[in-house]
Amino acid sequence: MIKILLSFIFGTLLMAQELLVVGDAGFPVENLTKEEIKSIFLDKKRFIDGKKVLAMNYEYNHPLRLCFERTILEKSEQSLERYWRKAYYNGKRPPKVVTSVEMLLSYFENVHPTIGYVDANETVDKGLKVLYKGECP
Amino acid sequence: MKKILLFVIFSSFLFSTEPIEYGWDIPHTPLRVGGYIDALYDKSIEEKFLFEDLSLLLSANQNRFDFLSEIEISHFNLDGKSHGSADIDPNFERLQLMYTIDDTHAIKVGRFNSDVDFWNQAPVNILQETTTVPHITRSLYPKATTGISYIKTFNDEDKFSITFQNNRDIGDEYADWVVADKHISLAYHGVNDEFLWSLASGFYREEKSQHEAYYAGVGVEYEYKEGVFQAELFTQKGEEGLSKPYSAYLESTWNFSKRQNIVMRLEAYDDEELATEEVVSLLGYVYRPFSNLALKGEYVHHSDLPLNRFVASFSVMF
Amino acid sequence: MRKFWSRLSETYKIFISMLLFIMLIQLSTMYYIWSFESKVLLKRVTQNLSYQLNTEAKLLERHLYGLKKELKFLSTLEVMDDVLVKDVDKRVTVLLEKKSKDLGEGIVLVAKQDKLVVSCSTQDYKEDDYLEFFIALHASFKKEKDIGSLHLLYPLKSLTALKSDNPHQKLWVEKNSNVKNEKIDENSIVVSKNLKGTLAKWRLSLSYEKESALESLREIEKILLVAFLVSLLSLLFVVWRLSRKQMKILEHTEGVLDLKRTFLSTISHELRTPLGSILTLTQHLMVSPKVGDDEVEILGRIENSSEHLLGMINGLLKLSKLESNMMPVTKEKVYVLNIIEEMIEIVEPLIEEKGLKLVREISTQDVLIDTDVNLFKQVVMNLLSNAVKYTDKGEIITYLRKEEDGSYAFTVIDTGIGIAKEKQKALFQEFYQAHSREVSHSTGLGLALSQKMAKLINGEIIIESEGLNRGVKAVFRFSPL
Repeated sequence: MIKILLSFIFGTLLMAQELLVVGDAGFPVENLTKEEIKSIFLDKKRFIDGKKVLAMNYEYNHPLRLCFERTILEKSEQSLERYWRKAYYNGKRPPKVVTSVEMLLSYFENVHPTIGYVDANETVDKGLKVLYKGECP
Repeated sequence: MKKILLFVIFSSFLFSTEPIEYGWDIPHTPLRVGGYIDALYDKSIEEKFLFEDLSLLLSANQNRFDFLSEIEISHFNLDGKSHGSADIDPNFERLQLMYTIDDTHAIKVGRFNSDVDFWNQAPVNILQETTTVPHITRSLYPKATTGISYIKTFNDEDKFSITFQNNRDIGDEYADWVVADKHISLAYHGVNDEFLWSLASGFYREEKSQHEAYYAGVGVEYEYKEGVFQAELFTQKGEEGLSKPYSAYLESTWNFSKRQNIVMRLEAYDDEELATEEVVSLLGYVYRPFSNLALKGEYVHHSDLPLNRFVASFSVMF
Repeated sequence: MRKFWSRLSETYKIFISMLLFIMLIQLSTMYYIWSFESKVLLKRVTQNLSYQLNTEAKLLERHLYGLKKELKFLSTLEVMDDVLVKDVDKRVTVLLEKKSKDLGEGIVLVAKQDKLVVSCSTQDYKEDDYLEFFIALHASFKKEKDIGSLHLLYPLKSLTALKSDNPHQKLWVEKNSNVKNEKIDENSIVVSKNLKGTLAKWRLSLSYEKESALESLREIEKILLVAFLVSLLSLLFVVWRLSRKQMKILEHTEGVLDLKRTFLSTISHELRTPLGSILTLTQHLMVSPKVGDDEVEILGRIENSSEHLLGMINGLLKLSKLESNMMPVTKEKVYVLNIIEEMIEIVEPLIEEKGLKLVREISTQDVLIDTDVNLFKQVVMNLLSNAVKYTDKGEIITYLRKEEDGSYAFTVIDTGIGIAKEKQKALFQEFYQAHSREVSHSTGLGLALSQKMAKLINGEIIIESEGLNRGVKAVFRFSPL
């Protein structure tokens, strides 16, 4: 909880947030298009290079997630709710939720392949692959 | 019953802080279980209070296999009468197994919702903006297909499917809609930024009457910041005097506020079987306090048939 | 009276002797138990303890099984995935802390990955002080992926000194060793049982201080004895009181009956004697030449009244004899037709005198019956004489018939003055006369007496009449041998 608060404050302090969509060190491909990322996070595409990918989301009111939803998924909250209702009815599952960047990074270390997103201002020298760069409004 | 309902509603909020997560995993199995409940109130010439559906959704994901089952547990009126079969008689609305060959091909087998139009992809109250459904989705094509379907995906979004059925349906015999024992269909769903396209055509034979019919139609959905606009046009050619030369609708949903929507729908159809050609208009209101709970109220006006009604409903998905 | 008294006291005697017998057995058993207490009592105590032990064992096993289920449930939660990432955000720790607090008892919950502790609900604990059981954890997004294990540590303290309501009892759990299930040592009785399930390598033991065990049992015995004696005494008391009461009632009744008998015999004698003399004297006077015709008439009336009075007294006497069942009934086998014919012949002259017609219809063969001849004759005579008395014109029909059910019916039908419907019911009550006194000379006891007599010889009299001036049908039913 404290971490969320901190990242929120942190987020609001910086005006132009750069969003990085990252994969783990052993991610099968070097980069992905926005559409591909969208498909993964909407459970329309599950396999990259024959391997099932684990997509990670922050908690639903995390500013970074809101940014991700707006820029990459290009759907409003309402639209996403509508989408996931139908998707669940058709057997799809939303991405896994993590509560902090540390947790996200830990998952990257332990599960392969994984995909998530981080704030560009975070030091990311854990050998993660940057798959896509975006910008938050 | 009421207790179960209350538990279900409250537990779905207490258990997950995520508005888009539904269902619970059954430990030591790959299954996830959930369901939905509908209750509606219908006032036209007579008043009806129905506890429409209590259904279970079972899904499982294992490697490239996807299993999905929708079991209707009960379907009864509050005055105790049951619809066709006994109250607690599980009916398999859907029982499908899909194998994803790779990113572009998949095969689906079992009983699944016919891949035809927008409404049939989400034939449950909680997933729709209105309680009542447009004429298109009622009797132009078989709602469910018990057969095999091949799905080809382009660009992870656009889908082309071909469905084949040549056997009896395994679902509830007492259905209001078309139950086919033969069905072939081709459908294409495309995505283009905010636009969703759908093109479908097919042939089916109704089991009970053995009537054959062909159908074809197009649909478009446009999602914008403040709402959704949906339109479809279908035609069906059946046997002598049973065709539906056209059936179309335009539906607009306006996101009046974050949790409330206002819906307007205009339909026009010509149904030879009902010997009616009319225009139906609807004005509705939807309140979704939570993502999995919807309270709806709408007024429907028919230009010809004496079916003007006010309908209110409550639906929850878990 | 003596008969009844002896009857009563016999039961009384039997009852008392039964009670004494039971008392004897109980006392001897008590004595036996008291003197041979060590074996019998101890055996009982041990049995009770074993039963108690089983219950406690079940409770314990169930409790631990419940904990195992809790652990299983925890392992299925999606948040357990964080064990894979070493619980970076401490979500698992928070959950384990909360859960261990809920469970209480000093239970510790630990999440491990590759034998290393990832998260635990308490910091300091010594593994040896706990009983441990665990369950494997799997990733929710990939069930095959093994991410670690979740352990529940149950404090041994809670097992070694379990709660027992009885301060003289001790309940504890110890590691299994091959010791016999029961042992009786110097000061306490101990029972043990090997546990199952989660506590498979343990045994549960229950000990009870010998003295207090025996003491409590002795107390129970004492109470039982006292209760038995008290109930016995109260029962005796109740019986005694009741019998006394019965006795009193009987005495009273006997007294009354005695009195009645004495009274009747006295009365009969006392009344008859002067009456007798009145009659004799009157009759004497009636034949005296010194008495004139008018006076003879008056004397005649006196004679009639006196005779009537005498008749009444005789009737009363007979009735009282019948009532107290002192009428001797001597049965003998006789032919019915003879008796009936005899009686008819007696009344025949009277019938002729009155100018009535007598019809005899005997439609059966003669039948042999076992009866008191006198009583039978009296009943038949009574019916016949009534018929004659109350008929002034017409006829009297008599017949004997066999009924469907095997009984016989001697019927006398007359065409006399009949009986009004209301009066028919009351006919058989004593002192009731169907007609006003003017018409008859009978004392009204006739029919009541006849009914009683008929009953004594297992018969019955039925009177029917259509009404006044419609005659009477009198039926005497009796059965043959």
